[in-house]
Amino acid sequence: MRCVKVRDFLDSLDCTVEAGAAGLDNEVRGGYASDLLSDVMAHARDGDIWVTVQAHQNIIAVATLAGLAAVVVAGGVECEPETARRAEEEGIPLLRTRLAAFEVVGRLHAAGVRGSARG
Amino acid sequence: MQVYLADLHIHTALSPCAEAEMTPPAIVEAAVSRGVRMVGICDHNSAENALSVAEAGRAAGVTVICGMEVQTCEDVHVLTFFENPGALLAWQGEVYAALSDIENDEERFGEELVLDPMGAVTGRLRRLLLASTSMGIDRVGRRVRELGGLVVPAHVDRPSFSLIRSLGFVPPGLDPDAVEVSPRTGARRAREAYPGIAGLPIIVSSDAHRLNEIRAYTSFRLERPSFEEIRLALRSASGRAVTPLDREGI
Repeated sequence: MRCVKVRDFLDSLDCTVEAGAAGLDNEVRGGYASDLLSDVMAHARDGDIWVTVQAHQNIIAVATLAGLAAVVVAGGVECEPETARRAEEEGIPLLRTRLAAFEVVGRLHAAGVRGSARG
Repeated sequence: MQVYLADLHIHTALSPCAEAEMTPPAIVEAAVSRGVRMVGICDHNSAENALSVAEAGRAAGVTVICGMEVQTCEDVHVLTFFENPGALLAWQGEVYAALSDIENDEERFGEELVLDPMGAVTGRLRRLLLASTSMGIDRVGRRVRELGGLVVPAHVDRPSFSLIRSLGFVPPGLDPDAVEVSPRTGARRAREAYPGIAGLPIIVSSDAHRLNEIRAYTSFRLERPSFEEIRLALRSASGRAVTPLDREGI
């Protein structure tokens, strides 16, 4: 896949940038979807764009720890103010969309983003 | 100071997943028979039976700590305890206002029975208690504090509805009064497996849904058996102490 950046998906995911715009040029190297943060910590890979319906502030710490490209909060879930504050601080793009998580993942996949086949 | 054996996470027949045998007098009797002198009543998202168990416990010399097991929007179960019945009921009001309004299907999930101190059924809830509230864990922590309660993330070692599983680690600023660990894992193994809970007091409790699960899994050294003394013990203040009893309990 050619080098794609987080900002390349803003239109297709119909999302708003809640915080962390400084990271919009992060390269997206793959994708991960999960709502269990312990699972994301264990399995997401460096450069993944992460799709979740969790909006708690811990998602930003997890994204930072795992070196993720961006977090997409799906399903119209409201982001907590503390989550946005931390995303801004860490420069992790925090994207929010009304699309359901399934649809977000489908559109990312259609655009060439792949997950790990090993789980 | 005296040692008091405790089991601080017990469901009543109000929780649909609990057996109908979990009535106030039966819970108290089971506690007495196992040497448990302090019980915590924590039904899912409701405290409708807690005061009835407290009443039933008084005659038998069993101290009842009234609480609720709240499910946050992140699917984390949190034990919340209160000394003051007014605060408990105020908190219940907030939880009810935030609880998804799904009708309980008794056939599928079980009955939600409201009981008097003698164990007689005085009502049943229409709304399903096995659901998430719209409150995040940080808000739950903040509100319970403001109402004078204790905040204890439940069974942090479990694969579901656990703080560690759902949120990865203890959020900064939550400052729980303790964390609860299941007897299956025990405090020692939990400390090894979850370095993030280092420095936090651990209680082990049964999460009993049936009478024969009630057991003394935690020992407190207290001046007297009361809510405030437990608060002091969780801070190891003035000679009070909390000791999780690993393995099978007593």
